[in-house]
Amino acid sequence: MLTTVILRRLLFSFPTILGVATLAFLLGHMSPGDPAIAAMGLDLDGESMIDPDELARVREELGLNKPLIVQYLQWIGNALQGDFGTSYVSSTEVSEMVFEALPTTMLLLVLTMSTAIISGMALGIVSAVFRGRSMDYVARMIAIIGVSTPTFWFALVLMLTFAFAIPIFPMNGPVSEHGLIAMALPTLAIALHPAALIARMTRSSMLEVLSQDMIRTAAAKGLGKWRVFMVHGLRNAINPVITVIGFQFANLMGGAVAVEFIFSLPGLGSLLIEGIYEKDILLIQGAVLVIGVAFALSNLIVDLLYMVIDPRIRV
Amino acid sequence: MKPVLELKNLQTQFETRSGIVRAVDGVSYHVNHGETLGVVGESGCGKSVTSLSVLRLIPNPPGKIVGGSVMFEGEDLTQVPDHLIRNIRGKEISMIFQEPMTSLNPMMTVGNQISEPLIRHLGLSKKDALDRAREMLDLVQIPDSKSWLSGYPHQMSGGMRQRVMIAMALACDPKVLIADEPTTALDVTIQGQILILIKELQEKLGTAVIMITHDLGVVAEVADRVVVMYAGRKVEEADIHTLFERPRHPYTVRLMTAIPRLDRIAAANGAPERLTEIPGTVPLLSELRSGCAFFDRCAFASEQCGKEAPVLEEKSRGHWAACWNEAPFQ
Ligand SMILES: Nc1ncnc2c1ncn2[C@@H]1O[C@H](COP(=O)(O)OP(=O)(O)OP(=O)(O)O)[C@@H](O)[C@H]1O
Ligand SMILES: [Mg+2]
Repeated sequence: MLTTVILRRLLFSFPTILGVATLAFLLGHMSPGDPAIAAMGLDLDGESMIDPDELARVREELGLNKPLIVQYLQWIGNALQGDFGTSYVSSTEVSEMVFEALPTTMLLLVLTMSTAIISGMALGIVSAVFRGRSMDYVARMIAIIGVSTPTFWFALVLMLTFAFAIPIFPMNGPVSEHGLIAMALPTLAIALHPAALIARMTRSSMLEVLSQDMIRTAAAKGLGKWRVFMVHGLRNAINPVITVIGFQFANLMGGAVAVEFIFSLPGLGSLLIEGIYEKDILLIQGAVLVIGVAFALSNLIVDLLYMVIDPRIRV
Repeated sequence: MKPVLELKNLQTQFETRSGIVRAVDGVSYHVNHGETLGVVGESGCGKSVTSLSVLRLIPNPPGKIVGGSVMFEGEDLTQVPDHLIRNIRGKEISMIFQEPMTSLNPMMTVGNQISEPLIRHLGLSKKDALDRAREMLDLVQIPDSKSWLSGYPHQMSGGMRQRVMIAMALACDPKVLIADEPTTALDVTIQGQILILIKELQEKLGTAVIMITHDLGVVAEVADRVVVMYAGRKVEEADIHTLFERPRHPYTVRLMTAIPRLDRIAAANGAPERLTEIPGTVPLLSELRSGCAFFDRCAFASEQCGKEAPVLEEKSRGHWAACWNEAPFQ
């Protein structure tokens, strides 16, 4: 039964993905500069020195002279089959570039998400359980700081402090060079904000649940304090927390782009920025599309999680 | 007979912004083995807080037991350490609550919820606990008990949920069952069924029951002895026959005239209708008062009543009342 639900949801997320693809395409084409000039390997400022015949030839070769709708349909048809085209700039398959960058970003996101979820929920639970006591104030203070700290700024501070001033962690560079430790500072940098939001939501949701009748019932059965908090309290408080976690994914991607760039991690974010610099529209489109699909999938996972967790939502 | 549970001069307060609320202001009552004690009084008179204080389930802050004792098997429950009170909750003394819709955990199967105290107190394995949970569902007359084990509360009606609450409360065969308005939230027909069920199970298991209600009609149906509470205090106590024959407190008399009659309920299409409201409201428990708390609402009040709080006196054997005046109040 769950599988039919999953299949149905997958079907429903198809229009979203199509919309994302369209947006990615438009973004690529609407951004300033001429991709054909970029493809010729020329400085974008040197437009006046370009031989118009040569430019027209390149345009035709790349299919850029066809109507936009034709280009769109061609690109999307191929993209749906996993072919994002060949970069005009580097003459490499875009799908190859994207899938090479994907593991770094995935690893970064998984590390960030688990860090944010574990620390955020722990903070929120402690806050709720020790409501009004000093632990609660400390936890809430951390959350406020976390919510109001910009990710790129925090990334730079971490880098300056723990890589430059006190060189415990590598300044920058990929996992292949330094090992997993290369992920430590980037993970912390991105995780702070979502962790703080998760902590806040966990606290308020827990407090609401802990004042409900069923908690008194659980206590009246003679259950231990932590069993009441975790099994009866947290279990009922978790839904809004999952929603917040789901929303964080979009924020995380934004944070990842900046942080990958700052720490020179060869992920999707770095790739996207590279594409923008080089006016490599196929690369931009491919990277945006993959990020968009990942986002749609994360929403799907959140929906499914609700169903697994809350018996009232099951169909 | 030796009482199984005895409250002595219990005092519970809440610290609120508008001052200290003395929700329970020196209440004493006891319940004997196998007996049903009815505790009646209007909304807000401290019935729930009294019974929650027994198992120390008062939210703290703002609530606090500030005086008196709760004697159970030679121990004062207000003084025992936390881990010992947890051994008593759900095993020796159980509670069921007014709101069956919100008192169960919506995320947990009925079977698991009934199993919890069995695993916690009797050390049963999960499987044995579920077997026993099923027996309990049979006992509270839930049909198709086996499939309900894996059902969830939201799939049940209010009456069924209250049956589940009863099954859960009685699972470990407690010596005392505190039922805090177990039927108030239910339809009139279901109310009767639940009361009969509690009565039957009590006879079968020999449990002492404290039946809390604002409805003297319920008390008349199930109780052996009655405690009448008003504004955080006990104002009258007697066995059921004596109380109805010769009430010694004007408040009790007013409660009796407020009993909704079944024939009129039927006429009102099942909606319980307050027929004779007692004029006035319960005084704020945070107010300092001299004199009788019922003074403002009492038709028989004398000058003395406004100045001096009446003391609880044994008017006849086993019949206590706190009133300066002599019955009958007509
Ligand atoms: N958490 C709380 N904080 C402050 N005051 C409280 C709290 N809980 C109860 N009280 C006060 O204690 C008094 C007694 O409440 P209690 O719930 O015992 O009444 P009750 O007799 O059970 O009424 P009902 O029939 O409505 O259940 C009330 O006046 C209420 O204002
Ligand atoms: Mg109550």
